[in-house]
Amino acid sequence: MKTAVEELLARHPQRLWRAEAGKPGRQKHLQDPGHSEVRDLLGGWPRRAITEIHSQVEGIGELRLLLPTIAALSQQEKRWVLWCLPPYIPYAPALAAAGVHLERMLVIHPRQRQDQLWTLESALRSGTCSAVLAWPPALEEAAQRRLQLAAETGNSMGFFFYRDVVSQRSPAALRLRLQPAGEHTRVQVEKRRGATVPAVANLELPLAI
Amino acid sequence: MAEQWLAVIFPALAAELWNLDGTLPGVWIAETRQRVWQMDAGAANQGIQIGMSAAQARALAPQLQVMQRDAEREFNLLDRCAQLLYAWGPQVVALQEWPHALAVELQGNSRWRARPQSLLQAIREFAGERLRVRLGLAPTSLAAALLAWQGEDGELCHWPADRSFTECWQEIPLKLLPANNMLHVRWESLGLYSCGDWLRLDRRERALRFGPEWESFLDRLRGIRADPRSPWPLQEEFAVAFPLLQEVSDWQGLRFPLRRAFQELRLRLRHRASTRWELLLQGRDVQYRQLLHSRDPLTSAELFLQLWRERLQRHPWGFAARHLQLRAMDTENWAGEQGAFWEQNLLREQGQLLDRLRARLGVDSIYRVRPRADHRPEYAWHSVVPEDSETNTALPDLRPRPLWLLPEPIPVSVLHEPETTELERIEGGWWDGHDVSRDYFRWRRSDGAECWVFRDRRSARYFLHGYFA
Repeated sequence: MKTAVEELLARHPQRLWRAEAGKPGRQKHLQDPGHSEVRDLLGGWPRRAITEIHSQVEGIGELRLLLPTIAALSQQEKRWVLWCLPPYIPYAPALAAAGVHLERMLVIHPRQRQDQLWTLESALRSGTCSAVLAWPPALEEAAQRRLQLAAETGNSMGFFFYRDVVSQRSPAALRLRLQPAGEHTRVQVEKRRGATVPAVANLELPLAI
Repeated sequence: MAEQWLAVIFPALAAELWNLDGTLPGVWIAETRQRVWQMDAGAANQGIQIGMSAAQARALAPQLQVMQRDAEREFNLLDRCAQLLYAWGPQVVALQEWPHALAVELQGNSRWRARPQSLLQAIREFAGERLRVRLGLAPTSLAAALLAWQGEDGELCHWPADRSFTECWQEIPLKLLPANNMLHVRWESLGLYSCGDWLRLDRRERALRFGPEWESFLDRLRGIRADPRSPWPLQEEFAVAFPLLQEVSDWQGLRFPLRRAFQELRLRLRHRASTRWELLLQGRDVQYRQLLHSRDPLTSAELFLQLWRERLQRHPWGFAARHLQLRAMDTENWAGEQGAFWEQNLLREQGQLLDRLRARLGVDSIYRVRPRADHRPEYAWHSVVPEDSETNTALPDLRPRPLWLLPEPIPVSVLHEPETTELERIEGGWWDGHDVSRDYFRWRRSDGAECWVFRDRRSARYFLHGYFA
């Protein structure tokens, strides 16, 4: 006979889980990150969820961390990878050399804050984007929850990049903090759904795949 | 096959036009001899009757509004209805015997035979809650009109299916004929109540007593004499225009009339569709014009409204609009949406998202990036529209390029000279006037950022041009 907890777990597999199920290699809804070190650290990128990537400096490997995933998504899916509010020009020769299918990649620059939030929600919710890479403004908790729900609805992965420190409370499934560490990039896992102990790793991210 | 005509009669259009929003308790229209000529349901409820003197009507219900006819508005409304009816029949005519009557020929119309309710529903929706409409179906337009007069508001009146027209037409009451009151009284005094009674009199006697025009009328009614009428002019462009019931200054107020205009146009477009729409809003002395483009032809009212909402909330018109015009531009043949496979659904959904983004943010707000065969980094890429179908251009084997390129190179101070082996020399551009001569190299900044820097060989200055993000 099933216990009440087991019944709840079976009924809400997306929203309710056992903490140990979050151990690397055991979660089902993860996207292969392409880097073996990231795989060891995280298991993979959470699908249908928002991942926050914080760093004080740009240019320390924040995109290289995701590049194999972006390339794989653009090759395997017909859905788009949307870049919303990138701070600089996503450089086509570098992306193409990394295997990103650029015909699946869109770039958008909404100007006003209201339009930015609307664009993010529309893209995440529509089901037409495999991933949304965004450099959003600071988001209050209600907006974060809304976007998290949109990602679930649209079966989309959101990667939100922040340069400033935002609220510690966030519904994101994963929050990473990147720091330069000599020739490496230090990745600190600040929050991971299902995991109890924060983890840290120094990654060597190649310039080209 | 016998002809089939559908008559559409608005029995009180002139009066009801003044009270489309239902804010007045009732309206009646006076004719030149100061008698009640037409009235709406509100006036009828107060006891007003057709033919009553104006003084009597005013005394009976002083709170009611007495209006003059507005011929232009009446014509515009009939014109919209006629254009709608053209979606079902090749010929639409005005029945001049009555002030507001139209007829459409439905003979051989497969759309009508397959789904007669769709036409009736379209007419009822066109009339809405405030306009009464009567519908009649018969082999001649006049018979159809008389049946419509005999029927109930909003219902279709037609012959019993098991009886022929030649049997039934004689039962039409003479009181429905558009004759003056004196003639109606004379017919009754002679015991003539139906067309059958009329027919029993001698033809020459009838003509002498009541006038030859009624002989002609009855012959055309029976279909034994031709009834040539000029067709209602068919508009060549697909546009709908009408005054708004209330002044509208926000999206919430505009949503309903815009939906109505779109649905009316969709019915008229039939097997055509459009990707370009023009909305014109008219205020007291201002005008607002906005265009909407969509990737695929717009056929769904929900999507149409969604796109306009995004556009109009972003670009509000900012005044009280009193008149609306919607135009479908560049219409094209449309065979309907094809298939329902997952990929086709995805393509459609992607198209809809693109349309929404463009409607709200502007057509140029969304783009793709593509590499271009050029040595100079700033010319080695370009933006293209998302629909651009070309795949990645084959690129030469280059040294690693940064994932971020700065829009403009930024001057920087580099503390140490790079080794010669680290340099990548990029030169060229004399052919287009943007000649460059640069030595590019990687530089790790003190904060840890991996930068792509070049030394301009002419000025010997250093510039930051990208990040290995």
